[in-house]
Amino acid sequence: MKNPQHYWQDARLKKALANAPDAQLMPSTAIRKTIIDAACQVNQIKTVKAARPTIRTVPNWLLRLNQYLFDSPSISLTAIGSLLVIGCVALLWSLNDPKEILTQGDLLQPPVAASTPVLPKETPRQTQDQLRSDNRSTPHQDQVRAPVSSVETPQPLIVDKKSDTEITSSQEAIITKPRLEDKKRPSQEITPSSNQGHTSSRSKKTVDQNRTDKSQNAIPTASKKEVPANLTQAPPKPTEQEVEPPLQQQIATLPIQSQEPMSGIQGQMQGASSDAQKQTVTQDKQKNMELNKSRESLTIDVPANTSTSKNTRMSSSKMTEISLFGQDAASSNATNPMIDHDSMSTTEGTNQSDFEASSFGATVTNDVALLDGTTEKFLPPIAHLSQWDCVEIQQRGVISALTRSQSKELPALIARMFKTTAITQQPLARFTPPKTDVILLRFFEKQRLSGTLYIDRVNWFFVPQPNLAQTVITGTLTVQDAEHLKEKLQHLSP
Amino acid sequence: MPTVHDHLSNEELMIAYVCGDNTAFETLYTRNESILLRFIHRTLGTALSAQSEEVFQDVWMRIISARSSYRPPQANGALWKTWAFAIAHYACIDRLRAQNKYVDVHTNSTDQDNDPLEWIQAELGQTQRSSEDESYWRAAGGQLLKCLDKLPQEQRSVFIIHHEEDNSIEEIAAVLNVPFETVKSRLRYAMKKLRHCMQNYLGELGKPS
Repeated sequence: MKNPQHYWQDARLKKALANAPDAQLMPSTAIRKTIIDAACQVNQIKTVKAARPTIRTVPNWLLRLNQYLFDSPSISLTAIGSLLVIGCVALLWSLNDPKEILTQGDLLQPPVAASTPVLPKETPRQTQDQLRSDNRSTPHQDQVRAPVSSVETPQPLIVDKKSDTEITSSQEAIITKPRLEDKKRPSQEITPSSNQGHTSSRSKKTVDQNRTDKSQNAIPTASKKEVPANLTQAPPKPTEQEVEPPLQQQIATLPIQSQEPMSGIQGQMQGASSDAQKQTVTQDKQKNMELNKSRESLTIDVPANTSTSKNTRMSSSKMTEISLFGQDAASSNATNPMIDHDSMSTTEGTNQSDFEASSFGATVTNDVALLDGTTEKFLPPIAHLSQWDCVEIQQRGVISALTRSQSKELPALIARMFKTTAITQQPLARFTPPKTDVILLRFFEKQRLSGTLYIDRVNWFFVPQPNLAQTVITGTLTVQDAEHLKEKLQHLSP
Repeated sequence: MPTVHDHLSNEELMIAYVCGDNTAFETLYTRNESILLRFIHRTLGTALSAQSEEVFQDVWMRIISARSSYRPPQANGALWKTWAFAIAHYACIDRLRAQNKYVDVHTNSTDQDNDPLEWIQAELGQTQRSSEDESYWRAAGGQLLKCLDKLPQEQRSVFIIHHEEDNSIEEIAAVLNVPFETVKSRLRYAMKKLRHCMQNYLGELGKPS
């Protein structure tokens, strides 16, 4: 009554209710016992249920270990966890190449190969000319392919250690030793002269090694100056002895895959330069060439697509290069849905560019007019780059957009870049766009981004879009080519 | 008899029981068994009074099984009595529905034939009644129970909770899960009917002795 909430309460009724006959009603003892027993039983079940997981979580052996070693189980768990983490870190560290961890400043030293672009005068021209007699690629082109992936660039000193006959025996004979030594060489031994570039991924290393090996053709020529023309001597045994035993075993099993195409090429070479070989190349040298070729094929792990090529005008170095390209194209074709696989079979090329394009093993889509007036097939891994309406060039913070008609030189530049590059692929997930000294080109087709091309000091990366294969096509330019390209691109930008 | 937890409130006892203290439940039960049984007995009415103990046991089983859902007022919950009375209320409704005694909301057959005063006089053999007499109030209480039987179940529950447990209308609304105004309305109708039913007693009480 006093409380507004109790306005409806009637004291008389309340008192009557309190004095009602059932006011002292009490449940029976049996009901009381039943209810209390049920309540206790439910609580005991709950306690048992709660206790079980506690017992299961800690195994007995860990409890005993903790009893003997530590006071609390958390200490041993922490110790075990720390060991696991350390193990994982060590494993990851061992899997990653320490060379990749080197700072960019360490890697970007002025290259040595760039300063030796000219062939030595006293190079055994007879042999080389005969080997390259029908090759359209000029000596300059071979020199342009000087080592650029330079962390793994072999030292020319290796050649100095060898006898003269080793150097002159074959260009391919040099390939073996540097590669083996590169594996053994610790990262601390990287000298400024060898730091000529930057390798961005492991997948590229194989090609870079081969490029490096090819670049030996240019570098060691400096040491070939002192070499007499006693080319008739057989290559010394140590070259084969330096081959690692597992590699030899693998080579022994190779003929099914790699020797077969090589035999065809070898036959072509023999046909092309039979006179010179009769004079200078012995049977041992041929074996050595085969061995080294086999190693190259082993390194790239896939027989070259050039096995079916009938072009007899190729040089041995060109063969190596094209076989690498063919491998890369084959691997890229396997993942790139934009490439027509039906046309992967190589055809007899009518000229060098046709041969190169077909050796890439993919559809040749567009002809690109080169500066010298000739036409060049656009290289297939980046074939869809040939279709663009507009390009956005970003260089040193300056962005300029050009239509295709405004940048007529660009297709030729890109074609040249691809032509002089070993092309590989890498997963998009592992790709990190370069940040310093990069030229960025975004290609648009019908106002839609069709691809992005990054060009840093010597590497280029092309990210096609839509990137269904989730891959990035990469390549490494020579320093000269990179400088040339950058100059041209600067001219392109208004 | 558990005496350790006597100083604890119903809410604290319930929490202690949920945490595994069985003696807390014994204390809680001992403290509230009579109240709950009375509430059930009165809610069920005299017709189903024989089943009050059965419903009472059912109510406590429901309280035990729903113990983990109980939230004290500090955790935006309710007083234990409110919570327990809500359970008891719904248990009674279930039982009344099962016995088809739930719905006769507007059927009032006023029991005017039995004069309470006569009954009290006959019971006590007294001609002079005293307002403070225990027997009188006991008789009034009996009469009130009869009147309660005639009330609709909703009004009955509201009246019992409001008068016996001194719960506010807000609390009753929370217990019965009905709006505040509905509770007030039900209570008003219940009071009106009960006063009418108890008018003889109330008239006597209103007279100076």
